[in-house]
Amino acid sequence: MLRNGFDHISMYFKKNSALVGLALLIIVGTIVNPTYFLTVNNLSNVLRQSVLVGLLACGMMFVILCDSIDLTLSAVYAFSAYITLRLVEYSLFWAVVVPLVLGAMVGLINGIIITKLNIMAWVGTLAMSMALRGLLLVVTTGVPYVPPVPLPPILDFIAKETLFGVFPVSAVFLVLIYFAVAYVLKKVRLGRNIYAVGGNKEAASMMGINTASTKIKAHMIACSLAALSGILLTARVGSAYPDAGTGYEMYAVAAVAIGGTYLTGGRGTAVGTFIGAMIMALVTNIFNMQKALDLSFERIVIGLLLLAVVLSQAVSAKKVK
Amino acid sequence: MRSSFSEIMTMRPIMGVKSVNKGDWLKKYSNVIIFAILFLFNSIFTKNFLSIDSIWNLITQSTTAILIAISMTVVMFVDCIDISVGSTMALSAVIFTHVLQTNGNPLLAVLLSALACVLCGLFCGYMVGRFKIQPMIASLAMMYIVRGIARVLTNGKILFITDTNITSLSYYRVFGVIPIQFFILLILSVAIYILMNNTRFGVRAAACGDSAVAARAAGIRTELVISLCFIITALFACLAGIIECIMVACVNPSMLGLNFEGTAIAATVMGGGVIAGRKFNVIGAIFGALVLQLITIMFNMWNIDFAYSTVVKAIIIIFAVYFQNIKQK
Repeated sequence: MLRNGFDHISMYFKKNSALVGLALLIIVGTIVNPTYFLTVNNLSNVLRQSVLVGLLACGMMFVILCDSIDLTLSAVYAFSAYITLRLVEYSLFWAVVVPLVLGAMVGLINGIIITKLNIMAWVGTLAMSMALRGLLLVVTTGVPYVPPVPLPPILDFIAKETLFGVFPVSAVFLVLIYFAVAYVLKKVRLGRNIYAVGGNKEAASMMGINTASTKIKAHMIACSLAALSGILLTARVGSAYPDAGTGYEMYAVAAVAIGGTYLTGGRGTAVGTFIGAMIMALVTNIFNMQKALDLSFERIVIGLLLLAVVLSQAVSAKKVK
Repeated sequence: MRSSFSEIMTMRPIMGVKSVNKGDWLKKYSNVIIFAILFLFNSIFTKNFLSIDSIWNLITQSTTAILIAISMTVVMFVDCIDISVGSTMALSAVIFTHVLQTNGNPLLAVLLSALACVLCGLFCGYMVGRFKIQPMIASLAMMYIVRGIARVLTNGKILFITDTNITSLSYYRVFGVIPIQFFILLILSVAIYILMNNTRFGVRAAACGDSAVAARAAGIRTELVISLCFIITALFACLAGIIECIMVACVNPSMLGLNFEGTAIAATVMGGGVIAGRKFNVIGAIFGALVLQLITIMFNMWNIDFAYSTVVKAIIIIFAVYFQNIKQK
């Protein structure tokens, strides 16, 4: 087993590779821009930018843990941002509740499509995301929607303000949600069931777990979190446009994978996903600050990062066998 | 080894067994039937629809979608998916246009872009075949990498094809009637059909698709077969990209082929590419793409907002897959 000190160290690195990656990125960022990168201002910006990816990744983690995938998340985000802005002139309460309910309903439909109609997850959710984006185009008629009244101060406060000048309020929400999610996954029956279903579906159903309802609940949580991200972030832009967040599923999947969650389901932690989301936000931040590489390289780098992580997972999974 | 054991146990006997079920026929050609119904409906109720030109228009407009749909059936044959096709289209179009601008030799341009696409396909296929990475994830990463490369190559600028000899090619009609795209589609779909159904490679690919573990045990080099399937898909995407950029005479590296994989997957899935016992169904995929294009044209001709057509397409996909599922049982 562990023979010498080197083995201990390499074991530690393997277990906490996401954390090591985060540390490396911070070093890289400091080298790229020594004057600005490590300032409070910049780091709080990174936190603020991580909220969208963080929330989508959190939802994505739920569905990936039970061996499913949800490609509607960014569409739900865009939709809920639109509904919030649309309803904000009438009542703040409904502007928050309606998107959440609609998000949960989209998750319910996704879950039913996947479990009851037996349609593969990516086909069903791809179709659903097409439908949602289409509906969004219909209701917005393709132009960004700007509410006729100024936004209520509470939404502005959440999206734009910082606590003690350091922590963005939306990031505080993000951290609280991650705490809740970590608790659910560790201590609540639903969380344990999700791991069981993702690890081995047949065994889980033999143990008496209702796999269908577990999956449906995971999808509902994922879509509700996506809707929540729409509510939290809509005030930052102040307008809702139909293409918002296109392609963010890839960022979410990447964050989940980088955080050490196995994309085959059943293994992964909330903390890892949080670190993964931070890594994604840092990569974007570092790319925005340097001048050597074109911005188009950002996606290449993130794609390569995702491939590298998945590759290392595949290799280490082989060793376990 | 739980997974490999259950895979062998649940392996369906697909090789050499002809379809015995009468329902199979209906399932296999459900898209053709939907297409026929839609076509008939439009001929009667849509003004100016029924002219020979609009039929050729339908084919020329959906050429790229059909090509991608056919290529998607090839990867689905080995139980994979490639969602990087849209980006591969962009890359091939960018390289084609760039070489055309600097060198002027169209043959060299085609060859170079094909080479680039083969490399993309090989890379993705090797990842999937050798390291057992889920095809969805590997091609998702490839989608962003390849699109990024296409944008880096052009610095994000739009390239134009100025050579009118080349741009007029897409309006060329054989005998003055039949668009050239029709022949391209005909030849390629027949070729792919024969390749996947009547050759040793096709049988091996079918074995890989059914159970990679069992195929490996039978001495098939699965990583090679899977890589080849991905390469074929990438080559089709390459051709589709070139056709697309010739048709519009310019390349926007960030937009060309964007979300194309959605259309292609929809067409293939509707064609029963995934769910039918036999995973390979070129005719279904072709008519799936035609149905989707027909819906778009129908909405345009009726002057309904384009956005509604996406919603209708999504509903059709879900129901098509659902009904094929029922018949499967």
